Amino acid sequence: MNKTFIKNSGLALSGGIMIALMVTVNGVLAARLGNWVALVIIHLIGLITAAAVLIFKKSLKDITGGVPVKYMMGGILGVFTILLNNMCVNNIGVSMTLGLALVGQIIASAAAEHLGLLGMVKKKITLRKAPAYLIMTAGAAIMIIWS
Amino acid sequence: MAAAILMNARLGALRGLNKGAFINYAAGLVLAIPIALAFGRGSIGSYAFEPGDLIALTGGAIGYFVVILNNHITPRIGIIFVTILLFIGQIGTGAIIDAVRTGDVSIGRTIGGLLIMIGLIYLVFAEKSGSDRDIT
Repeated sequence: MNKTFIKNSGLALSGGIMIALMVTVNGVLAARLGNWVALVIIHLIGLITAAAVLIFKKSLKDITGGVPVKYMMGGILGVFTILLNNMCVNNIGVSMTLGLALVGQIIASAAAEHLGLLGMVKKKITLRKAPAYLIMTAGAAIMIIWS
Repeated sequence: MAAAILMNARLGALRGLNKGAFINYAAGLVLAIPIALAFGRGSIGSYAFEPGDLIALTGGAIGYFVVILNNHITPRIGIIFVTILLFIGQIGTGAIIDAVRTGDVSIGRTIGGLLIMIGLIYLVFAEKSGSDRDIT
């Protein structure tokens, strides 16, 4: 295991820590301002941060560059992700919100790949992967039932 | 969320990471404003800002840097390790935050979180092996 791998692994762990902190502070904001106002502020601050980086890098020209509208759906769907996270985190906690979100994300990804949705290359759900889905679903069920 | 990640990845590939993130937040804001006006009118203008609330405003900026970080490390250590390590970081920190906030450690959440982690590790290595048999 080389130094670069260890350094980047540490960064990946830091990324996970940052996600948990982000969900927590967004939840605090939603508790203070209400879900709807918090939603606007979170996006506004994200946009200001992205704009600041673009200004710093002097690459403000031609931002959209004829990007098809469908590729902006990520931002649209992200609104609902943040809204649902904010609604959940103040009721069921950070670990359960993130754990259940991951299980939902993996099952949705598997279904999308299985059916070849959104232009994805078709990848069938296989027997080899079935135990993983069962274990994760069991984990999600235990989180819900035993909390 | 899965669809959002896929679309964001396509957008990033088309316009570059920073411009992709800008478009992503701009598109989100265009939707968030009318939603807030439609559903959250009662809560607008009834807020007294306190200096301690500044930390609560950092979520949007943290989200931006998480995207940048993910795109930096994924080509270097691979999506498999990134997925596992990100989840370990998330669930571990989430458990600590929950314990601090509630003053209690939930056995159900701990066991459930560990099972999800085991399932995730199993899945990414099953994916890596790439010698699957179809069941359909």
